[in-house]
Amino acid sequence: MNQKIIELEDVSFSYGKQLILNNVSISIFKKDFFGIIGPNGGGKTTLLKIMLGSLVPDSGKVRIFGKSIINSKILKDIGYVSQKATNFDNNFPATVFEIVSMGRFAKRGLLKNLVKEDYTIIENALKDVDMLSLKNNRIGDLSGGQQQRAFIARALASEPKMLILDEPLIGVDMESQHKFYELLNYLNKEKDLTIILVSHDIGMISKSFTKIACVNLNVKVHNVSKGIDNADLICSYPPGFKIFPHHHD
Amino acid sequence: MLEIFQFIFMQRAILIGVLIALICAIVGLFIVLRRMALLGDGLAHISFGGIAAGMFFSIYPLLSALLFSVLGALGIQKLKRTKIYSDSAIAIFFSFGLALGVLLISLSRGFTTDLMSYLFGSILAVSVQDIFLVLVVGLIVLITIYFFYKELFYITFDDSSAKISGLPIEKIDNLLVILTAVTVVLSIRIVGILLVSSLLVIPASIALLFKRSFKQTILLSIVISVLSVVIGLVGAYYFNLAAGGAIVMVLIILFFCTILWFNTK
Repeated sequence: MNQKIIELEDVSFSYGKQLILNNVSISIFKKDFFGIIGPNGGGKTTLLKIMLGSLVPDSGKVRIFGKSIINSKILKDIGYVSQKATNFDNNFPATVFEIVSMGRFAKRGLLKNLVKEDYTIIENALKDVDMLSLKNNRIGDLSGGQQQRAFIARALASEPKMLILDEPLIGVDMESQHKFYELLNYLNKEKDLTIILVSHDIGMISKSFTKIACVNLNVKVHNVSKGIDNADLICSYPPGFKIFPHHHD
Repeated sequence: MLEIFQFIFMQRAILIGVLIALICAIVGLFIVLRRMALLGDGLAHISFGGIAAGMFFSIYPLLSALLFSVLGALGIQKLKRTKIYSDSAIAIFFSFGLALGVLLISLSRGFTTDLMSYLFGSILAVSVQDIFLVLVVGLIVLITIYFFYKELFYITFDDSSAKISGLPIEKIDNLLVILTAVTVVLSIRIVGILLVSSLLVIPASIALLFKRSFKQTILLSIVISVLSVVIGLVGAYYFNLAAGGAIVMVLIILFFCTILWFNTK
């Protein structure tokens, strides 16, 4: 049977009196390429924080890798690329290699130095994102797209069971976006990696996705393998919100 | 030139000076990059309260300063995690240490010359006890940094990612602040309370101008720091100057020369 990676059951969450998520149920399986799409303020980030254990829902059940307590042991198996990842101090003295090696730190554990095996994994992660030739460059000297790939490599270096990308294409040019999708497809299809991608931009909807969840207070999950019906994809956006869905191959 | 190394007080000063320079260069880079450059200054002033308390109650002053500095550091961390801004937290503890020191001084007159040596540093006043403290505690600090290097590096770059990757970031952050507190106290004998933060901030700031990798930046910071301390100590001996002031002047000159050099390149 296909293994359940994330399971949310009737999850509700509110900030004060403001209801953000209402009875949300989502199942994400191994090898899914799961898109979470919705307008800003629709609850995507809250949903993500619940999945990462930084927020506890008011009601409902959350299980990650079959476990209901999300501790640091669970987090070590999640590769996470924050929307703020590329928003760092450009003068920070670190090379791409040093940044990607951070992905091994929690895996190796406290008080231990990285060993040869870690360096092989780091080199492989750099190869996967096609950044090996830039490994000795300073991270702050790279373009937005290259930095994005470096941070994906850092997530991959932790050998995660699932990769979560939060708004990964902000500030990344069109050509890099195309390469970015090729990379994610490769990781999903060839490396069997479960991927969750969060975006406010409906233009992000790609043929690569196996499932798409529209998040706006409620969540509606669409199964893409049955063919995308554009009408179906229109999430409950506020009135007057213009949507231009287009596909990335 | 070599005659100065025949004096026991110079040997002692150089020995602990180099060790302190090494530690300050490393700890300093972490706190500068974490935008906590003023933490060193704050902790030094908290130590002032500890020094005064030690003298008042006839305890070894550096030991009571160590206690004050570490407790102050933990207090700052605690306040920082409530609704107090971290620079305000530093200012509050800073004032507390200074006020306590001033009160104790006004209660007992007579230890002012000794106190001056702590405020401005004095290589002539370095005792065997000081050497023992600096060597033992200094080595503990270096070993701790060695074992937590990768975690310190990660939280310095981005603590929220470090947290989600499964690292105990609050504990590592506390560790860094405690290391800073200890480093500050160890440096007091050589450069004095008022100039401690310069040894933490300036070598790291110069090294950062070179825009290298993290490891190279640490090495650069160490080289700059050790070199300045040795030049400063030797210069102080030959020109009969206060060692702390001489060391800091060397650092300041290096800093502006580096900036000038990069601007004209």
